[in-house]
Amino acid sequence: MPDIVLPPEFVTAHPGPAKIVFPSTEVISPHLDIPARLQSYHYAWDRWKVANQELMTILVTLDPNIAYDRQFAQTIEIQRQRLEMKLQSCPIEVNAAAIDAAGGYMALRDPVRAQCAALTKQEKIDWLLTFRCIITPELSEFFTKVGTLVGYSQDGPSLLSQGRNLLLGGLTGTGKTTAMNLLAALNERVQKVLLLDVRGIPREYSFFLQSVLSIESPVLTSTSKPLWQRMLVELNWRYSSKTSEEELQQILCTLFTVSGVSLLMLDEVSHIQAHRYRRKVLSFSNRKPKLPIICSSCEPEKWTAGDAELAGRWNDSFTFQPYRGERLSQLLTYFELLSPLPQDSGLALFEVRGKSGLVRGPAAYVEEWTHGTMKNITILIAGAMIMAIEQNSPRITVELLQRAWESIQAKPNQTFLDLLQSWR
Amino acid sequence: MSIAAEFLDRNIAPGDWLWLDGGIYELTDHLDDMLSLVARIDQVDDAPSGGDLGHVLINIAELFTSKTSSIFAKTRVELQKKLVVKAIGPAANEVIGNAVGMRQSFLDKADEIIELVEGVEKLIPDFRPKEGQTYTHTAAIRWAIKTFPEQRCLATYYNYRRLYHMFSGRRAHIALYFHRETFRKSKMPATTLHLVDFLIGRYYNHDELRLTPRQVYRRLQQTLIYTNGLWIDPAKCLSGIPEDLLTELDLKKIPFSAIKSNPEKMALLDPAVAPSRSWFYAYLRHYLYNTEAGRQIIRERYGEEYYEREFLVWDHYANRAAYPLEFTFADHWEIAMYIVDKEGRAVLYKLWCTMIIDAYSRSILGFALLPHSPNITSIQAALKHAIFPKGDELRAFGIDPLRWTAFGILIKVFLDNAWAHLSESLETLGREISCNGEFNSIELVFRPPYMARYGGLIERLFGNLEAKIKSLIPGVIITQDKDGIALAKKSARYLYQDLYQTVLKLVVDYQHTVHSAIGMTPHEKWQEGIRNTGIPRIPTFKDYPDLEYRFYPLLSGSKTIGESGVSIDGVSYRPDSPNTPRKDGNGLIHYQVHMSETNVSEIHLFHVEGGPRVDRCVGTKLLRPDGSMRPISKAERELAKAYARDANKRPSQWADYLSVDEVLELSAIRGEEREIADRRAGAPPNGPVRSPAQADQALADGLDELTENQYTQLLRNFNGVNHKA
Repeated sequence: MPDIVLPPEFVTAHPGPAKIVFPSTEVISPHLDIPARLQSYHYAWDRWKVANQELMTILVTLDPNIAYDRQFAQTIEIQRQRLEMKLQSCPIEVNAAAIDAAGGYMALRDPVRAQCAALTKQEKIDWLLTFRCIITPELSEFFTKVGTLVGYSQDGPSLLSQGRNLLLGGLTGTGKTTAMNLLAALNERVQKVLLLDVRGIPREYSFFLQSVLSIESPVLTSTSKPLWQRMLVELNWRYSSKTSEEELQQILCTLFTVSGVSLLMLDEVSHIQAHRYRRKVLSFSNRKPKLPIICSSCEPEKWTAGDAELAGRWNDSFTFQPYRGERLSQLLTYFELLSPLPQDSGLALFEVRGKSGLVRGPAAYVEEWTHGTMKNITILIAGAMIMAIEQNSPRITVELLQRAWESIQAKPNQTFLDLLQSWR
Repeated sequence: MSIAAEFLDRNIAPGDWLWLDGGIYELTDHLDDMLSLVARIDQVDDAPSGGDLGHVLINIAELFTSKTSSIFAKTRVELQKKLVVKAIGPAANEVIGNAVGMRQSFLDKADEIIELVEGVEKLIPDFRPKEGQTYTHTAAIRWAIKTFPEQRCLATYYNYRRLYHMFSGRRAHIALYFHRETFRKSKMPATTLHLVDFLIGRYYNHDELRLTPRQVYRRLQQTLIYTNGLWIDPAKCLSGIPEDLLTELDLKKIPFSAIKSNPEKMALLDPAVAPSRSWFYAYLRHYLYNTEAGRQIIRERYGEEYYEREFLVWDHYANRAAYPLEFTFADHWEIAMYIVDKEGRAVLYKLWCTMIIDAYSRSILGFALLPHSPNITSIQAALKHAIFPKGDELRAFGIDPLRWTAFGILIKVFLDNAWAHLSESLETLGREISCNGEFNSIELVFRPPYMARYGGLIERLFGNLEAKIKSLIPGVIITQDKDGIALAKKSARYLYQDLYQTVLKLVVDYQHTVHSAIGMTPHEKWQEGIRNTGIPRIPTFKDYPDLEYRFYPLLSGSKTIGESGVSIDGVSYRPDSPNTPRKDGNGLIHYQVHMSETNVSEIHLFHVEGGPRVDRCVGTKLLRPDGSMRPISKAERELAKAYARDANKRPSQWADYLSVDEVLELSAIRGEEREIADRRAGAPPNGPVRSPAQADQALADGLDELTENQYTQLLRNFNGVNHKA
């Protein structure tokens, strides 16, 4: 494939800067239709299975010794990740208005309990896919912020229409990457175009119209090329190793325009440590002045430290906080509300008054084990729920939580989806 | 016969007969101490019965601790039978057979089988084939059968022989074989029975709820209305009764249509009928007055797990104990004080007290005071102390032996779950203490740690004892802070025996202090119970000398005797007798091994099936040059292992590093280290206690739960909190 040869008809047909799509949610109500949602989950599972299989079929035909194939394989991996993110498309949102309208917690909980009583064990486990993506108020706030950022840059040629950047922080597992990947997955469209290959033969090519581009920053040591190459791969574009940094940036500028990239997100930005590479990011930002760039890391302020220009450009920040104390109790109440188990488990309690005095409650253990990270909390609660379902237990006990946590420790790399898949 | 009935039947009461030193006595009356009985001398030295030959006073507790043999029986005939059995061996089966309460016709049938099979086998050697015929075993059997008046065919004989061998010729077991499976079983559908059992367990037996029988019955009716006359059929629940379904049906918060639409759940439900009110009340009475039988029924019907989950309500055992030793509880407590060593008066250490208390009388049955945290030795030592009379020990400390008279084999002992992993050793002891059914065995119940409901019983006792110790003794830790511990160490001067004596005296005092729960002293209550049930009968070490070794911890797994003996922990133990069998037809014989913690130089072999000791084995490496045995304690062995490790050798080579001086030196160092570590580990936690199981129990019992309002607030705030950094 030539470095970049876009047919004129594609350039004229490109959609231009796209509006960013945020996850649509279903507000909780006593009329929440669990069987219908399960049906949609099953449909999504099946669709995901087929699509994943197709991608796997292509993957095995690729030759790892060929550079283009390696790049294509990377693209396929990215697509597979995005497919996973799309599995649960409409998360359940809980808000104060919905709670008031329903008349309190029990008015929402009882219908869930009643509907779950009619579910088979497997269906109950499938229902846990609900927890795959939780639009927490924090996440919602983040999306609002992103919407505002992008809005500034899309308001046409006015004084306000300039790129505004953001630093995204938070401990590992608090949901930064998930949030970014979710946005990237929801804002992906694929357009098939015919391109001429090196021998001049026209071939169908999937062109990614990606309004949100999210990449994990590579560790840069001797050149900044891998950063630009990753962006190209993300857009399903190929490159030659001989292409210079400057050329790569030029290609990207063009591709960003034709693909309608409205937001660039650089995850693990702390990998770009050397001052000269940080300046390259700044330089790229100058080339695309209207493009908001979100840089994410555990401590993103460190990334801008020591460079006044960088600090000035990335002068806004948002941090995902771990779930501890009262916040954890609130989150656990959300899990309890949607739990497929018939009895409430008192998950939100930090202390329990036993016969022989105060003892630590379930929330205290969850906080101790997970350190309040969303990823761990979700997988822990889902794991304990699966165990409870399997054992016909009416509620989650601390003992089950403990066993689930031990099982998580045994498989530290297990994702939420892996957990659910192991029971399908 | 139930365990309780068997136990009571075995106890010694006026009217019982006693064989002692060749004489036969009839026990006629109790004395006030409830330990001595007036006995009429019936026969002396195997002379013919002389009627009334005078009266003597027999102290039963003394009898058990003396070296003389004794046999007790309820009647003179039974006593004579026992004497015969003792002389000729295993005819005791017959007595058991009659006691089971089976139909006479089945017992007759069993007799017929035994008579035929044993008779034929006896006659076969006499069979001589006719001339010209060769000897065949079948022909011999045919010939033998024909000699019996009732003619049986060969097939019948083979059937009889199969049954005979299947039950090893035991009459009661053969008779039991003929009972229908439904023998003595209720005609009520299994679904109804389960519903009734469930509601009784959850609402009638429940500590907090305690519904009246009428309320429970009404709940039963309401439940059946809610479930459209359906309930769980235990027979369909192959992997146990699903607790979630049980909760759903019981809570009635979910429309039953939702459950009905679930095929997985519907498959487990079957029609149940509401029993009549009178049937229900009768059934309830059955529970109320016969805890043992109720327990057995639930276990058989729904399995152990269900029983433990729904019915193990500990307080009930404590409150419903009907006689001494029926329900007993064991627990331990670290005495918060330092004592000093006898030699240098410098090494400071603490003691752990393991105690056994009787629920009926609140009497302390026995205790063990050991310098290490509770382990198998602690509980087995406490059991030994509880089972046997303590007269000699009390006398040695200058205490009147009649002030602490509680003893006997426990029927059921509730133990901390922490001891469950030691259950093999404990279970063996509990089983073997029965001496082949001569005495009652001990049933062990491991309570989960959170089931601390009996804490009221035993922990209050510990609290009281500790308060008394604090007021009496120097060296007690009054406060857990640095200064408090330093002061306790500085003022420590008590030796082990001083503290033992103090605890013993406190126990005796406790026995004579009015207990608020029973309105009298534990001693009085014990005597009242004994007056009704009789004095507990226990085995003596004279009659059962091997029993003593059963109180030593049992090593896990079985051992075989190799060429160099039994190999344990790098040491070969050689049997005393060269004739101890190593192999049988199936290969190497597996033995159970008991080893004392205070002397690991010798071990004691027992058959896996039980019975008397097979042999004693001595560690060859542990012998002195003159061939005598050098007693090495387990602690010394562990230290020798540490020493071997320090010398970069394998721990199994510990015997090579068993230099007493070095070990003692190391012992002092390691002991101090361990104490420091123990103190660290035992530091009081900050805030609420870490006990997942206790939290689960509290939540399951609904002791603590969030209200609807709290849930609503949490959910509302989840939405409203500002999460900005």
